[in-house]
Amino acid sequence: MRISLTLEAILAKYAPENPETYEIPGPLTVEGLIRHLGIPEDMVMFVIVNGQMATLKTRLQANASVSLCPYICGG
Amino acid sequence: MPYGYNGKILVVDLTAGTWSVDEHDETWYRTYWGGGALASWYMHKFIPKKADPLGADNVLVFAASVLCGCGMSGFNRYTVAAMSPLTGGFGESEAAGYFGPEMKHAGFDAVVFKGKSPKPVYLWINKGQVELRPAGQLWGMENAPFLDAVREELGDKKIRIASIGPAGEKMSRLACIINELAHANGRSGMGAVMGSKNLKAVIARGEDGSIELANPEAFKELNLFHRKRLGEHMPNVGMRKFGTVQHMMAQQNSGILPTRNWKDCQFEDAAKLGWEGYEKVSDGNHTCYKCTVACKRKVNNIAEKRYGGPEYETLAALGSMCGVGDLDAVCLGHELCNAMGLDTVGAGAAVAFAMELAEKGILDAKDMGGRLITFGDGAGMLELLGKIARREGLGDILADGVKRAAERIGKGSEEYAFHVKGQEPAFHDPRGKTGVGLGFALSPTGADHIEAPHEVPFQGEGVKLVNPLGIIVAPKALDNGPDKVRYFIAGEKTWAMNNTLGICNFVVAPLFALSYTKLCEVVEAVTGWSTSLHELMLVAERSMVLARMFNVREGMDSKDDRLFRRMFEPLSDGPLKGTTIDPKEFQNMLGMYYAMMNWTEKGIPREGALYNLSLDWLS
Repeated sequence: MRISLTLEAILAKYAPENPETYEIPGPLTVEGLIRHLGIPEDMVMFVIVNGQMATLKTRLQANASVSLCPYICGG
Repeated sequence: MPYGYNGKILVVDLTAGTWSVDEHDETWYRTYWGGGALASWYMHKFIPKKADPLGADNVLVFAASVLCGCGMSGFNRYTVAAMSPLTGGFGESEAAGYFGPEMKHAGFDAVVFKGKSPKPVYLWINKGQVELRPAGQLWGMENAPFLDAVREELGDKKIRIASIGPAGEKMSRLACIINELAHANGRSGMGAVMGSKNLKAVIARGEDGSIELANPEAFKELNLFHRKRLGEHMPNVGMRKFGTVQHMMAQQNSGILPTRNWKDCQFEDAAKLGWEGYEKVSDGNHTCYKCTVACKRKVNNIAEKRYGGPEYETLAALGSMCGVGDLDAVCLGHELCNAMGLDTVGAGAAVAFAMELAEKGILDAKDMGGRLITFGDGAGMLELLGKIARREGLGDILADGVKRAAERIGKGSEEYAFHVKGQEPAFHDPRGKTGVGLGFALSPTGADHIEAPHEVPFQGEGVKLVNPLGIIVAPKALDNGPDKVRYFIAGEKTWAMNNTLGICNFVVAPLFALSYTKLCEVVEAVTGWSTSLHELMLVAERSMVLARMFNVREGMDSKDDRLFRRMFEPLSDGPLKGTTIDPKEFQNMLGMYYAMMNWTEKGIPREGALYNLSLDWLS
């Protein structure tokens, strides 16, 4: 199953080859994708799937547009 | 009968030992709402120009809001405001915890202190009854023993308390106010103002649920919705798991972790202070009044666990800024600061400043009390914190903040004293996110890192989160053009709104669970006021301009909106090595900000801006 992946700012170093047409091994949740990409959980602040903020349990569909944003803010 | 608030503000004359109650009408409440805006109204009216911030003329305001304490997660913050002993201008510091809701449930939306008590006292508000009680026998106590002593004295374990420790009593300008031992009104030296008034604590006991809501059924439904969302909204899930500790490695990996007094931007021991190291001492979560996020930490490596564990700003202040990678020492430093009532940000910055002076040969072993204390010395960091709190030796000089300390030390030390308007910045490097630089320069309280949400998450797809604020083009982290300034102003208003409404930044949009649409519904359910994001943004801007105008009357203008030297030098290492801020571009951004806000080139709000915000009385 293919998705289109964007990794913002410091997460870019976890980007696979050809992220726009990234093949994932079967159905995955957002949580599963983060693990699959090898990104430490505390580094991801939120994930946007098809223009909407996802939850960790959101199931990715084929051709989903997925954007991962790093944890960096103030407060 | 008002909904959501009491309609009563307690005004205490500490000099005379008397009090009265101000009752404002609905128009007034709907204009000023709470927090910094409400406090500013009293400050403008009652503090004479050029007052001594540590004198009897200063006015100290504890302000909740029309929403504070309504029972929704994160609606529990209150402001303490007064003329700042660090800047001589507007001073303000918010805290969550339990005190704000309890003050409201005890019968008052705010408490205003005028004058100076001839002897140490504390204020006891017990379900509408008010008493100034002697505190001479309690003066000198650290915050935890003081809490236990007054619980015993008042025979009530459920009191809620905002108190100062020895640092506030000795009027360290870095002193804070602590509530329930683990929550701080940290910035602006508000603890010193309390100390100057001989006011040890404000203690409240009310009845939960005493505030009448306009539409309890709608509120209940919204509350259930909000709690469910907090449990699944990713930024809130992360905040519950890791708290702000996750900032540490984020800053390190981004190449902007303030290290060794801003000299470096990469800390070799960052992982020991980040979650990887922190997890080993983590002992669960603390929370605030009825909040299910529970972002605050407990740790198992300190003696008095009620003081809680350090959060990001403290980890950076006492850790990377001092070059200390020993998490045990940082946790002990945090415990010491909460016990003595010291702002960890200001105190950590002061220690880091002293360490750099030692490294440069400006301070010697004798100046430091017997041995040279330099970067990396955890025991030395703790020693200096203790001296600042007790005003001993070099600590007496550092206790006034780095600006005044450099003036006393001389010998070129001002080159290493990093502050804006006299207040030390918290630990976010504007060279990697220039909007933070605008926040540092423009905050009315002096350098402040929570002036606007930092722009990094809103790049790329993240811009969708700020679309409801009218921000359609993502602000790039290192961009210095109009997109950045437009974003900054929108962001600044959202956080000014939170400060005025008494809402935690960690529960509401743009990043966190509660959308602006739902927020407007909550306001209506609590107060009965049909509202909109437009009105709330006006409230926010009114709060910002009230604070700005307080500084204007004290002689401040665009010349005070500055960054400090190291921000115009290249980052020394890491992924952003060589990046700096161009001073002309930064100045240009400030000019754009003034123009967009309808302020003059000198940074003074024009008459039209004042009229637009119903601040005719300031024109």
